Amino acid sequence: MGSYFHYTIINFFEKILTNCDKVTNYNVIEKNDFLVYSIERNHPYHSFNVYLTDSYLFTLSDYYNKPKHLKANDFIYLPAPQQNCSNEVYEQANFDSIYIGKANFLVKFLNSTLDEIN
Amino acid sequence: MFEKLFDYIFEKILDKFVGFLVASGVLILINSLWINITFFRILALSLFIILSISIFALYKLFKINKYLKQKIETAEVNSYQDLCIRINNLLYQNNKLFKKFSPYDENNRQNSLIEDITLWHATQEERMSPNNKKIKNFIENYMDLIPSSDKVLFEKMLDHIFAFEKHLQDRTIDYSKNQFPKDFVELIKTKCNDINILEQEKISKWIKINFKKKNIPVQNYFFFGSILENYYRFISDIDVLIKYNEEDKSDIRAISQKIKLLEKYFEKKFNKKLHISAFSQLENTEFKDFLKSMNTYKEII
Repeated sequence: MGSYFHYTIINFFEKILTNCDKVTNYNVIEKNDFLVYSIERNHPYHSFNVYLTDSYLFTLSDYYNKPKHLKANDFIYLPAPQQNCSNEVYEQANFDSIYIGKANFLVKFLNSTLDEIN
Repeated sequence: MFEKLFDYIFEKILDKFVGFLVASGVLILINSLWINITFFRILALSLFIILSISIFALYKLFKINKYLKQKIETAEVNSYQDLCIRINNLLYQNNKLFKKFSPYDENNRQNSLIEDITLWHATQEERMSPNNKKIKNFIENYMDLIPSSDKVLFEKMLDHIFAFEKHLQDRTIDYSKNQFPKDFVELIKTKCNDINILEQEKISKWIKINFKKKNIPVQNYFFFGSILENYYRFISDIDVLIKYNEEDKSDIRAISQKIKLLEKYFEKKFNKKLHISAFSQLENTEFKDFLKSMNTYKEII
């Protein structure tokens, strides 16, 4: 799958986390085959994992090969503006209660409880 | 400036200085074995010699690195096609940056990520401008290799680089009359058509054999990305696009796992990452859109 990200992308992502007052801590939990962050938030906001993908178009094949850390209520982040994912992925992710999106959705997700998002 | 000074110190002074240090260190050490031997003196002299050798090794390493960098970036341009391939690599990098960060890219226009123009300005100044300067150097240094019929377009590119640099120095300067020359890019691309032919054949053969072995029902294979744009030895990833004929999600899941395995086998064999963008039959519309959105791709037959 590859997980090469330019430093500006990582900086932008970490800036989003740092600027969010609901986030209390974050750590990289995987960085070899995939890049996965663990995000801790204040109560009543749930803690979750974020998977950063560099796929140009995130397909079902990418989705089924996602990191094992990713469970229900986690997030797949598409960091570059030109990235996208197929409709089938949206449906499958929705079925698995995994959220997927770009920066604007990530910011909304970070500032909301699961009830508010759903 | 710093690099020149560093080079001068190493080349003119340090070579002789290191020689002097080592020679005098050895002499004093030998001397100390005969007269008044103390443990600390020997230790100090040993450290002295180790330090001298380390400086010498660092110097050599610096020279080797500098030589390799020069070799990759400027040397070995010995034909017109070679020159076009070097320029193509830089144009490819700039195009990727434009797609990622420019608010003027079609995909980015509707995207809220590009609200902050400062990132785009920083990209222009810190990453695109150095590439432009390299292109300028290539063109000016190897003008003799360019056929007279193509020189007009190369000069157009030089005009664009000049105007773009002035615009970066003062954003109020309008360079609309010297915009990025798309016909120059087209010319360069046509001259690079047969890049990495042997490697492409080798890889496509491997891909076809191994996909067949794994019973993956592939309809189409395509190369895209850097293997079509840059010398094989300079690239770290091979991008391949495949469309496979499967609609059942449990089968798609099994195929995805096989693809991941093949990527790992490939890396072991070719020492480069294989990045497969795989589309199932369920994603046919996205596959067609993806193909349309790409600048360059090549079907593997």
